[in-house]
Amino acid sequence: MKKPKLLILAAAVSGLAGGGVEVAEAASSKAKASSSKDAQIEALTRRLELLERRLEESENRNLQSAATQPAASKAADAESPAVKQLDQKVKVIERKLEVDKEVADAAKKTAPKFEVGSSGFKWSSADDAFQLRIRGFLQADGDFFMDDSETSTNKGYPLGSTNSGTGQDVDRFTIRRSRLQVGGTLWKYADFLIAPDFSNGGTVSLFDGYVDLHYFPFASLTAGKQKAPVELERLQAAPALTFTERAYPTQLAPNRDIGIMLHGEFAKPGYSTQYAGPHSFNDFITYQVGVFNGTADNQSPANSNTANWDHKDFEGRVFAHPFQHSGISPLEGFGLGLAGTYGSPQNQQPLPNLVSPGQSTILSYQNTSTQSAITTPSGDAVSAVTTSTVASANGDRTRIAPQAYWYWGPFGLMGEWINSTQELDGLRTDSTLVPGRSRPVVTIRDSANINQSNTAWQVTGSYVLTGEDNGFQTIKPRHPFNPFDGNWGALQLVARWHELDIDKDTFKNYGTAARPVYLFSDPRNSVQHATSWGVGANWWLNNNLKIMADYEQTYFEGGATNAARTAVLNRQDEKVFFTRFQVAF
Amino acid sequence: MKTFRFIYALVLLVLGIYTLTAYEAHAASLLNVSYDPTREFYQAYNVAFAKHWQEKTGQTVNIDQSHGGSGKQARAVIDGLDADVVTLALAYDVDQLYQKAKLIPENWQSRLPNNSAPYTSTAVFVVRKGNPHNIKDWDDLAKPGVAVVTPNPKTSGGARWNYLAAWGYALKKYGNEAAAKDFIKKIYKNAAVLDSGARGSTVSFAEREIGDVLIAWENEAFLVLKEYGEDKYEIVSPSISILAEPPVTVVDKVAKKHGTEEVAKEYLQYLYSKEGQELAAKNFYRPRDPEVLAKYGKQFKNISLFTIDEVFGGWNKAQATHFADGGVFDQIYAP
Repeated sequence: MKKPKLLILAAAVSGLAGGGVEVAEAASSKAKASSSKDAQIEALTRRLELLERRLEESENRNLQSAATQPAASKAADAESPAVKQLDQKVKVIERKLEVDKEVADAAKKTAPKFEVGSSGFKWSSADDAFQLRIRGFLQADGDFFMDDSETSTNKGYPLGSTNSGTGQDVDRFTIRRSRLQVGGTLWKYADFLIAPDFSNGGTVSLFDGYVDLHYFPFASLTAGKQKAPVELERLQAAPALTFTERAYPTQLAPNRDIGIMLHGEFAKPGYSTQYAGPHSFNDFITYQVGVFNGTADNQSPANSNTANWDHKDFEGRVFAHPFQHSGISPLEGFGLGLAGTYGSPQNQQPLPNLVSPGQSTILSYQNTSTQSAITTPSGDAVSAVTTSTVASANGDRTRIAPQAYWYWGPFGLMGEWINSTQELDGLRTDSTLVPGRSRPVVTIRDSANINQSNTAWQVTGSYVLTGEDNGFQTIKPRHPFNPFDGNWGALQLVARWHELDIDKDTFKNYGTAARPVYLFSDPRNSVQHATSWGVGANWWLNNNLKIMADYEQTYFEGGATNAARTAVLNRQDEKVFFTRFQVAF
Repeated sequence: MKTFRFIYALVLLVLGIYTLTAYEAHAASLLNVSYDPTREFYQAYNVAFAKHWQEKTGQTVNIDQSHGGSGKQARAVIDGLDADVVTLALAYDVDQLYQKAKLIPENWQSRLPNNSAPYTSTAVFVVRKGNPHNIKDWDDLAKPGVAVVTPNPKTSGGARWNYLAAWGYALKKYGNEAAAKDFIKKIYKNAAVLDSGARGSTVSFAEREIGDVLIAWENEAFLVLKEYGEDKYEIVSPSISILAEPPVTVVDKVAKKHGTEEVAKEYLQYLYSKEGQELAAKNFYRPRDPEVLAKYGKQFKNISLFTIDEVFGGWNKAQATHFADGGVFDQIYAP
């Protein structure tokens, strides 16, 4: 009776041994399948415990029968080597599983990880000291200009426009932004970001390219091309914008610049900071101060790669959340700050244009040249004259930008004001080619210098109808859009008012009424003041998809002329309906 | 512009000074990165050396230890573990500090006597009390039905000594590589468990009671008897075994950075002193000093020992032939 039992037990253990060895093989060669292996190990362990109990019971029965049946005890003694062999096999299996688990656990400690989800793609080492992150976003816009075929009797069109009354601005579908963000971490404390943009008609531009050394949260160093630490809405990530286009204050501040920036963050005593990048400012107090090449107001990142003068711009910003961790819940999300810049560009021209919410040029600086021939009385050309009118930034440039926001539950409010003051030189010259001379003769006809002071401000309010927490950066829908489950994502209503005021000296006439000479900007196609209001809705389908729709209307002072080009009139109102489909990961 | 350049240069200077002064050499502090079975030995040795250094120089020295598989320890040092000295199982592992990271000079092994190996050991067998399988020599490990416990040569320095000892025996007995390979294959076929390190094998054999014979470092074998009981286990010395020469060296680049060159050199030199040799012998390592070895003659059996240079042409050749991926061990053993 006992022999068959032992044979059965031997067969079971052999099968287990085979299975256990197989498991060991799988474990040693495929450390990555740890969770299924752990389950297998658990199952095998349970079976081994069961076998050991049966073995013990069998041994006890053998001993009992040996006490009462001497002949049977001889048989039991003869079988104990087999029992011992089985016992050894069980122990070997157990030990192999232990060793394989040790190997698998050690491998797990060094095995790299790969994650893909709503935050993009991430590869990281086991200890996260090394990471590669791939993120990006695409914004496909549809902008529709309304009432632009109508003309008001007391309003005109910019100088040089068709003035046909058949729709000044072109309704369009456009790729507003298409950006890849390749970032990573090296040796735990060095982060980098390389972000090319592909939306400029086939030309690739480097928007961001920097390395950030953040060994100490209170003093980290960022070097490379990066967002200037100045204007609040500029520091808001493009996928998180409240309206499809940023407000006017952004245009009086630098965009991206190349330089080196010291930044740091301080938590409220008793709390700790958490690194979130060189341009984040979530902590109690944050500062950023840097030295950069210097860029003009609204200078495109595509044109911010070259230094053209020795003087560098100093830029700095301090931002605080004074009620963070105060227990005063409504004010926990209140933040305020102050930023400023100082630089001294030399002969910077051409100066960038400023644009309306519809992206139409509303301020352009003089950078023109016209050519005319000098002829003899008989009409023979003897030389050519090129008349150039150029406005350039040449001298001190300062900006000051107080800013604040307040987010409380679904409610959000953001406001900022900026003043940008810069010394401008206006110069009108004649450059005459004289026969027989290799170089033209340059004659200064008019010159002037002004200390231009432009200001802009905005107030933006928002409310998340679906109840999610509002915020400066992205809104996370509690229930991602899924019509099959009756979930609709998050819906945010938005409204804003913003104004731009250009220094009136910019439009001074240095000529006569009949022959005006504008050395800095021609008021017949550049506005002196713009006032815009807008309303809209943002539908956050989930963490990655967003649909925006907003309407913005703008009134202008100046910026247009009559058919005779003699008067300075107010430009036609701009009425734009913006839409955006955005994917960000 | 001049003001900006001045400020910029000042910022860089401050950063540079910070970097230089942020590092402070620890006053008389050493890290000894060692291999698995030397824990007990260096625990005793460090106390003795600290006393010696205090008497010699008046300075206190703190010694930290790190133990693990010899190869893994070498890799850790290469990857940045700041060891002032290494005391590893194989010259091959120590040599990687030169080959991979130039942390030590190429001639490191000639800087201390006896190829920088202040003590030696060899591979012996530990069997259950009474030696139920009558194991006397390497041949018995290849017999069917004998369960052998030894670590994995791919991960354990001690295991490589075991393997080479068996191979050396087989070469001597059978006279050719093919027969030696076949012999080794039989031994590893009998391997019940291949632990990742020497200590793991001791756990398997002595705690888990797996196997009939444990191939172990000689010092480890004595520690098994000491820890688990001489009434349960006994040591069997084979007729032939390998002279294991675990080397030691100062990690020059690290010691220079720490300012510990003098104390590190003395730390290793003292291993050759009478006291160092006595401690080695007490911890079952064969001392180099003939007087101390003679004093402990009864403890260490007279075994015919061959060196790795004599039989295999050195560690580099042995590593490449037997333990590299696709080497002899991979050919004869499949888990």
